[in-house]
Amino acid sequence: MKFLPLVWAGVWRRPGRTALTLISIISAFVIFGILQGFTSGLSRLVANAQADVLITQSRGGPLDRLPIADLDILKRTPGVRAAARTVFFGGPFRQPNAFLPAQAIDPDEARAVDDQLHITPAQWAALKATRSGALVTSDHAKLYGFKVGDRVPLTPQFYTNKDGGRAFPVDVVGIYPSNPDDGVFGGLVLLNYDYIDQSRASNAGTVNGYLVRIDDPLKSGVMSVAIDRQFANSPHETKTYSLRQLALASIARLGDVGLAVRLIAGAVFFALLFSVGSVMIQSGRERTVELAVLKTLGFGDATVVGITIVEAVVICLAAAIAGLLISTALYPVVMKTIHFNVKAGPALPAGLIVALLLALVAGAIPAWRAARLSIVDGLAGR
Amino acid sequence: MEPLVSMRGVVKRYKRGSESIQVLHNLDLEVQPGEFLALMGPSGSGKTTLLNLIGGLDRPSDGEVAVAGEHIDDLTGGQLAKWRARHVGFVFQFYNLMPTLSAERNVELPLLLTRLSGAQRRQSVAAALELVGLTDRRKHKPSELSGGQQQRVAIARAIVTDPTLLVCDEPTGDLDRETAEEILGLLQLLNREQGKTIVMVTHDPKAAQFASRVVHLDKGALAAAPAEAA
Repeated sequence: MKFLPLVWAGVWRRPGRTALTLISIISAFVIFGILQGFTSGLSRLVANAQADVLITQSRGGPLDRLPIADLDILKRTPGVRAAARTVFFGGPFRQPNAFLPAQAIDPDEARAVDDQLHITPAQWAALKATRSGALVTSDHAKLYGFKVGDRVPLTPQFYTNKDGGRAFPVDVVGIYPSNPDDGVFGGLVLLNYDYIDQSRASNAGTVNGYLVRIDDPLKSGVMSVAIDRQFANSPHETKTYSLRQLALASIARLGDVGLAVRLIAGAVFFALLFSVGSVMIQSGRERTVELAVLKTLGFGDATVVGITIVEAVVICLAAAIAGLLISTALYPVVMKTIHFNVKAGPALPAGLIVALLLALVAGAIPAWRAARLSIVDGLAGR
Repeated sequence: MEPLVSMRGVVKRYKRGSESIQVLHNLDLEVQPGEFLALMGPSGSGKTTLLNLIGGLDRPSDGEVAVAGEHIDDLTGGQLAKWRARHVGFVFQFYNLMPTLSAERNVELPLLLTRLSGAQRRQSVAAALELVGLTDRRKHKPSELSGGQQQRVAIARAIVTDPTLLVCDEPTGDLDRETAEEILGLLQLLNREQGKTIVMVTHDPKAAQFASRVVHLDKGALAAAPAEAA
């Protein structure tokens, strides 16, 4: 700590140059923070996807319907703990480009399949008691100003009502906390299947898919095959996979995001290393006499090396923290711009490690030169 | 009396490419405790090299250098650094202050290597700055001080650890006559009233008059004093 004023004075020896160096490092860490936040967000999405929940859809894809009669077959399948029907009922809301995700479910089935939902028994009861009821997430309530008791006209993408209109009025009976880590129902408006099924003009008695909770998450592969085998050669063949597989498949469709991020971040930091390294070397050269004076006064090689390295660490860590904080603020804006909805994962630990490595590598040459500096040559400015 | 500085058969050679240049030739020198010694001689005579050996900034190619009974030519680099911090104060021609630090932070630098607390360091710094008459300038950076004031700060830095020996390399070489005499007066005061042993390199015969003894170097060997300086 007592060397801190000396380190601080070294950092601000050339304020203009230090400011420019800080800006370049901050810029790099803003990019790094956003990319790292995105990739770690994707990884978290996969990690949090419930491995013991399978999704069974038509082999033709999620927009092909399955008969509701399949539900009983699924429930009777050995190794299945619970099964729940789902009908996609999301659609534009209030504005053409604003999408409100919703699903028609059976409350008892949904509760049995998804144990990560933060819905109180009273809210479940209210949904069951109100045929046209809807449970909305806190995020949607905040975004659209929903209150319990509101009547909201939903306009689903794929359905019209029996009158030929697009609106399906629902009554908000509860607001439950959003849980982005719940990949089953955690971010959806939940509606009563019976109400939707009887109100829609077509596809009555069908679902878009089933969510199936199994006893042993390690057997998700075996169970998927077993389920699909039951519907093989039927008019409605199925394709079953775990939510984790679904998350992985969704990410895989984007390409190797991790590699792309590593390549971009690597290129940014490689360029940064040269610029910061050359600034540090230049700074060290300009301070040859000062370093020689410190050694003259009795500062040992290790102390001089330490001071040089700590200066680099202070610059790199301060700029990295600033850059990562800015990236945290910018992340939602970037996600909105590129039309992705991936919650940022942690970028700070990796960022600090990268900043530390950058400081050590960039400070290594000036530190080595400082250690090897001969006092007599240094005082002579050689 | 045991000499504070004792040099025996000191030889110093430098390598310049493939060529070996001998700067000091089998030199013997003693400096008594409390002495104010001026080293004079033409450029290239080896004055600064000799001073660097006395101050432990460099090692002899041959011979022995002992200061306060310690053979500093036997010490390792790390030991020598610690020895300098404890025993020697340095004053340079161009002051060599840290430009980004205030006067008091510059004076504090050698104390950072001691076990003194922050309060003790501040006390020692205040005493040193008071001794050189710069208490009111303690917060100023070197660029805000005159040459004479900067050299006073450098002297305060040299004495703040209460070293045995002060080595001064042309301490007035960058100052006007009046300021130079103030600085030399200050060094003389430190020698006479604080008992500091001082070895000073100078070109200036008038500066040498402040010393209690003058030694002349010529071509790397001690020479007889020229008539006008005697």
